[in-house]
Amino acid sequence: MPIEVKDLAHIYSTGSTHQSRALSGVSFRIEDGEFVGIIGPTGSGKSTLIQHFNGLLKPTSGQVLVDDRDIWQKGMSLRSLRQKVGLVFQYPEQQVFEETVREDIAFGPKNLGLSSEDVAKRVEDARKMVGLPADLLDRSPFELSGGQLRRVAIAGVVSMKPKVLALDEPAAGLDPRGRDEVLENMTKMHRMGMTVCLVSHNMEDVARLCQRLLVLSEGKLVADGTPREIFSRSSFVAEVGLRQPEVVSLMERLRSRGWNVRADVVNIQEAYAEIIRELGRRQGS
Amino acid sequence: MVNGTIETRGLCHSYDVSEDQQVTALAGVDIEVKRGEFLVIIGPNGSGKSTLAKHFNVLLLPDQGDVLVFGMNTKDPSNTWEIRRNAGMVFQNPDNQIVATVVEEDVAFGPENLGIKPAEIRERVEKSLSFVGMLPYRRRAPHLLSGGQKQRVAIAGVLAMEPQCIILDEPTAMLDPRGRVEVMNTVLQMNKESGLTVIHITHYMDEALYADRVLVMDRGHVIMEGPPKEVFLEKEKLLSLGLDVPPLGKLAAMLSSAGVHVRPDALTVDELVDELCQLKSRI
Repeated sequence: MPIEVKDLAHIYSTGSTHQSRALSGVSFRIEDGEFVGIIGPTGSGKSTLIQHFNGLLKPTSGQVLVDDRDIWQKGMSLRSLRQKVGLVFQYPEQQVFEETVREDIAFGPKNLGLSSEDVAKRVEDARKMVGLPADLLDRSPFELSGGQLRRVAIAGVVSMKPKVLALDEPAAGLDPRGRDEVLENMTKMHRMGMTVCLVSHNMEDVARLCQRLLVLSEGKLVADGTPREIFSRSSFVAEVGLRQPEVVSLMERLRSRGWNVRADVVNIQEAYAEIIRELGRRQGS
Repeated sequence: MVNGTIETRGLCHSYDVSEDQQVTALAGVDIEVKRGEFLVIIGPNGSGKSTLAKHFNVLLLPDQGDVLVFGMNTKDPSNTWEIRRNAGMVFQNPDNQIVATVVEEDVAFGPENLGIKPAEIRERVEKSLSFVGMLPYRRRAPHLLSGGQKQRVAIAGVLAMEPQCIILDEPTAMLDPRGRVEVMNTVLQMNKESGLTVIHITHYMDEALYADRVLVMDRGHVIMEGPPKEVFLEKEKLLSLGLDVPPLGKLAAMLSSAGVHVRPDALTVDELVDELCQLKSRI
C-alpha cells in the first residue's frame, strides 16, 4: 500500500489573521515495506505531514494517494483508510483510558465489530508485537512504567492491523531502556512487512534504524535520501538546524587529522570497523 | 539567611494510587548539593527524579525526613517563598509554563509577584533575556517561538527572580537538536559564568558529561554518584538499570575490549579523536 504525496500544501486557519503555511510543494512516494525517518526542526511540518497520511488533515492543495487512489476523492472511506494507516501521536499514553491494558488494546478492534474471539486474537498479536508480558494485560494501565504504557498505546494502534504505521516521536521522554524497547518494536514491525514512518529528533536513532530519510525545513521537503547520504552533508545538516550523529562527527574529525577512514558511517559498529581497519593497515605497513 | 547547601536527610515520599494503595517514590534519600555545583540526576522512568526535584522547590513536602534549601527547612511554611525565589524550577514541556502573551511580560511575572519596583523589574527582565540570548524577541508572542526559545524564556523567567539555584526537570526532552544545544549552552553558562547551582534531570546521557557530579537514582534510592567519567565506566551496572552510556562511550569500550588501548572514559568527540591520534602516532 504505497503512500504518495503530490505537491502537498497545508495552510492552517486559511483566511484568518492567524493563517500559517505549514507545508508547501511537498512530493514523495513511500513504497510498501519501507522504513522511513522524517526529520526536521520543530515547526518544520513533520506532524502536519503524517496527519495527512490517514486523512486527519485535508490538503489545502495537492494530493495524498494511498494505494494510488486519492484519499479525498468521492467514494473513498476515511474509516477504512484509518484502519490501514495507523497513526501514533506524541505522548500517546495520554490517550490510554480503559481500566485494564487488555480493554485498552481491544478498544479499536471492538469498534470494528469483530467477534470476541477475533478481538482476543488481535489483542494477543498486538501484545506480542510490542513485547508486553502477558501478565500485564489485566493490570491497570496506570500501574505500568512509562515505557510499558507507551507500548500499550502503540499496541492499541497495532491491533487495528495497519499496513502503514506512522509514529510521532514514539520514544520521547522515555529512559534509555524504554527507548530501546519501543524502537526495537519498530524494527520488528518493519521486518514483519509493515511500512514504518518514524518522526524523530534523535539523529542517532534515525541513522541507525531507517533506510531512507525525508528532511523537512520550513514546510518544504529539502532532502530525500539514505541516512548515509544525508548525514555526510555536514554543512547542509547544520543549515537546516539538525545535527549529525556523533559517530559521523568523529569520523570527519579523524579524516581531518589524516586518517583514511570513511566519514559516511551511520552507527557505532561501522565506525568501530573503520577505526580498526585503519589502525590495522598502519600496523601492517 | 541564604547560606549553606541544598540537603535532604532521610527523605521519603509516597503517592496514593488508590484508596488502599501507595507507591514509594523516595525511600530515604540523603544528598547534599554544593554551592555552585552542576549536579545531573539520571535514572529510569519512575525512579524518583522528578519527585526529588519537586521537594527542592516546596512543590512537595516530605512524608519523612527533611529538606533544607540554603539552610531553610521546607516544612516551615514561612520559608516557602524565600525558598522558591532562591531555587527556581524549569519543567519539561515549554508550552505549560509560559503564562503571558508577550515574552517580556512572561519574564516579568516572577519579579512582579515579589513586589519589586518597576524600574528594577525592567532592568532584571532585560538582563535575563539578554543572558539567554532572547532579548531581540522581547516583544514577541511566546507561542510563536521554537521549543528551545520557549525554554530559554522560561529560564529567563527564573533568572529574573535572581535565584541561587536552578532546577531543570528534563528541559530538553521535547526539543529538536538545535533547541537542545541552545538550552544546554544556556544552562552551562549559568553555572560556569554566573556561578549558579544547577540541578539538571535528564534521560540524555550525553548531557550528564558536563556535570561536576552525577547522581543515579533507582526505585527511590540514590544508588551511584560521582564525576561523569567514573559513573559512565560502570557500563554494565547502568545497562542493568535500564540506563546507558553516551554513544561514544560505547565505541570507546568496544575499541578497548578489542585491544585498542583508548581510555575507556573518553566520552566526547574531542577526547576520542585525541586518544586515537596519539595511539596512531605510536604505531
